Amino acid sequence: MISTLGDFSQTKSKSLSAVPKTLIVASLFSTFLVLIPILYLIIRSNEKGFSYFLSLLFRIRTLETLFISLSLSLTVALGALFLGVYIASLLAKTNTFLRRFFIIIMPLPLAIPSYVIAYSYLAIFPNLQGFWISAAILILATFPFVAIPTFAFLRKINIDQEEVARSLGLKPFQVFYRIIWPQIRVASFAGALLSALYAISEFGTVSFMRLDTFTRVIYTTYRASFDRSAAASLGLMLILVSLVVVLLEKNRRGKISLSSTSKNYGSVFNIKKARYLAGISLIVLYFLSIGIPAYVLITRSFRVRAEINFFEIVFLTLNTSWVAFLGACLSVILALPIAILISRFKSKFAQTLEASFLVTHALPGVVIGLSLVAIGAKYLDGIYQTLYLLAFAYALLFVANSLGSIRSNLEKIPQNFEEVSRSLGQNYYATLRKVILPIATPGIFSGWLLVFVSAMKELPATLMLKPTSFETLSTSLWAATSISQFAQAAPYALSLVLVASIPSYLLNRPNVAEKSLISENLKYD
Amino acid sequence: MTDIKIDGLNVDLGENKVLKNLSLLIPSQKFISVLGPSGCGKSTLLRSIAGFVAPKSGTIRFSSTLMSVSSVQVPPERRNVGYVPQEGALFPHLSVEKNISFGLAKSKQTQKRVKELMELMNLSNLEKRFPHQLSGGQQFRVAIARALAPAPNVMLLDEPFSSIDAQLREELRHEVKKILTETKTTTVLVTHDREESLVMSDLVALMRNGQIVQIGSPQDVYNNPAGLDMAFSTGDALIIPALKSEDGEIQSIFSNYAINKNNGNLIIRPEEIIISKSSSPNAKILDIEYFGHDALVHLILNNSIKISSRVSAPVFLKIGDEVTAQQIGPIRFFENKVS
Repeated sequence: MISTLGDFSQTKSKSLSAVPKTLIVASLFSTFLVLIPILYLIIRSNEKGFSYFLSLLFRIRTLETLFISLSLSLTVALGALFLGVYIASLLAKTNTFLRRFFIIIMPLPLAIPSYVIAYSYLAIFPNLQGFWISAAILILATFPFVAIPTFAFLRKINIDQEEVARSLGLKPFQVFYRIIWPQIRVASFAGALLSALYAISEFGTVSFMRLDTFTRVIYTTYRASFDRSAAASLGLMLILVSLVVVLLEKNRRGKISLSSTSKNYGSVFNIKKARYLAGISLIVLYFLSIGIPAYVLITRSFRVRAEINFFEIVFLTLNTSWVAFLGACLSVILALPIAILISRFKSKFAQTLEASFLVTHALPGVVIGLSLVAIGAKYLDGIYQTLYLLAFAYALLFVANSLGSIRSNLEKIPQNFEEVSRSLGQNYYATLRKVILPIATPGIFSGWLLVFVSAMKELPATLMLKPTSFETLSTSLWAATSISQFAQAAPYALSLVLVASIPSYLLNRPNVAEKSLISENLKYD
Repeated sequence: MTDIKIDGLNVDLGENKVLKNLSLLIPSQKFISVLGPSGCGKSTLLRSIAGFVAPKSGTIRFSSTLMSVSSVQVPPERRNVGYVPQEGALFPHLSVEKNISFGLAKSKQTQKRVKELMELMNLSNLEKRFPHQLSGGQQFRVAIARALAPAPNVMLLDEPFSSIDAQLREELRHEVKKILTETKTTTVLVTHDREESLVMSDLVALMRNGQIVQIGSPQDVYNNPAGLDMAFSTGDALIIPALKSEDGEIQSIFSNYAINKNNGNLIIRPEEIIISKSSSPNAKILDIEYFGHDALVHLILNNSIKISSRVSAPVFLKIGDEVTAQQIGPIRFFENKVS
């Protein structure tokens, strides 16, 4: 019998499981770009030798800074953990006064950058400073990191478990401690670690409060002496510290699992008179975290209304949005190849690349700013002092977030779609273009939006990388506050919060379109 | 006009050897079903034919064209196969029309072809709908139409009926079989539903542990199982101890009141046991499973062995009745394996 050879592919793609070369090259390239700041810091801090690095580390001032940073981070994590679990438990499990209202506004503090909260308090009490005030503000700004996942988990726990526990003789509090807490604590701890990470890399708040943490010391070292090696070494230490937190958080996150079989949740305990007390505690808390800032932003803006240059505000808003827009697009471009690689082809190679992306979680804005300033001045004459370098900084800072969002959406697309498309004569890239990417569009968009909103609020990297004559809302706020012109800063802060809250709203809105696209098509019935 | 020749196929998925030296010839224009329990490798066989998994060794040919040999495979998009997976996998972002035309090159005929298929599959007026606006049956019809659109050489169905409710399923089976016969498409259906396999196929291939253990027409595999295990794949079966003497005579509880030793077993289908009332009953009814068109009557024979009989409606028997059970039909004797 004569056998003719079939139409074997030119690209030698062996089967569906063979990874297309272009994808590998693109992934490697974006991983390289993402790792540039860290590579630079390592090279730079090695320039004067490892002994210099060590001597710097063991200077009294460095150790003091390290101690302050770690203490701040720990205090914020514990505070956020306590507040977050408290709020989530009240709202998910009791008939607290104004419960529905507080469920809606629960995540709202995240819409206000912590340095805006810090600014608001300074506008009323210009002499505030120090560790405890910084910690309090960061707790008020980040407790939703704990409250949101804890609340979600509390709502998912099957009520049957609680009822069985009650029938076995446990009191409500014992049920919480023995049945509920063990199931939610993983999520709560993961949230607390996010708060810790936020505190370590926060720059604006500690600067306003004149607290010398790593970020502030790096910034002042860089500004004062242009001693890049010292700043680079400090930056590297900061990365190492936050890397530990990131790894802890990943480790926690990996352990989150919840076997929820029924939708029978939402048993609400009647806490009787205490519901008013609980309600008042929430009112005080939200008053402190969003009430005061809102009050300050509005009244101070009103006070200086005669001086407000609306053209300037519109101009700054456009500036802010435009760089953030560029940064978001860049981060999606960086994240996309690797997201496809991880979600569609599971391999050791893909996991390694992903791990290096996750490292960027540990890169504070100050450090990215520092290393891109140096690299830009030395090697990238063309884009140094342009918006593109700033946009690139945003992309690097938030690429891990967009990667997470895009990746999890791609993973939800069943492999069947790909196979059917291939069987209908479409090659890998046509399938990607016609099937996978269109279906993943909502997820890619939310990844984009996530970077966009974070970039608008970013402060330290913007300060370090912005072109000389270029200002954004956050840098204008910084400039005015630095010279104690608190009232003059209010319009910038107000615009920033308003502009950033639009995409935040879009992000948190339940994405109806996406849900109907994916889940409804998984079953015939 | 495509037959499929599979020769010595070995497929590993990770550490698992899923297909083991599997050979199978699928004649052109026939409808073959691969029947086996979950985990036997039947889906992997289908996916190897489609080109979704890479076999370790062995060959797959469509007619005389090699599709897969050792480590080189024709990619799925160049095999011209139609593939319908378990839940249809309609593209959620495309309308019915766009789903069906997905595999067609853009041309003036596209519109006509889509219309033709929509009529063929009873989908008229649904062009602009999106998958989530369709009923389960309609989604299935679109999935079939989409696979048929490029006039594939080979149609591959991976348990496509499993998520459709029972009544609609029978209707769709009939319809799909008719269309695939008319379009003369060589078809491979993978299923674990024996009724589906028997009613739809020209050929049934029984699969176990990565190998084809029997292949034949539905009547053939049902009536002449190659072994005890195979008998259960295609329908209910009774195993009755029997003794084959050296002169070839076979004795069992039906021919002899009590046999005290045996060297094998008879396989009997429940419909081959007929029961009647008589003055010297040998069995007693223990239980009755009533299906409407027939009933499965569970009996104890000679107070020693439990058997079942399929009885056509109308059924006037009740539990506790004493009856006479007789065996009719072919004698299928399987000697015990000497181990």
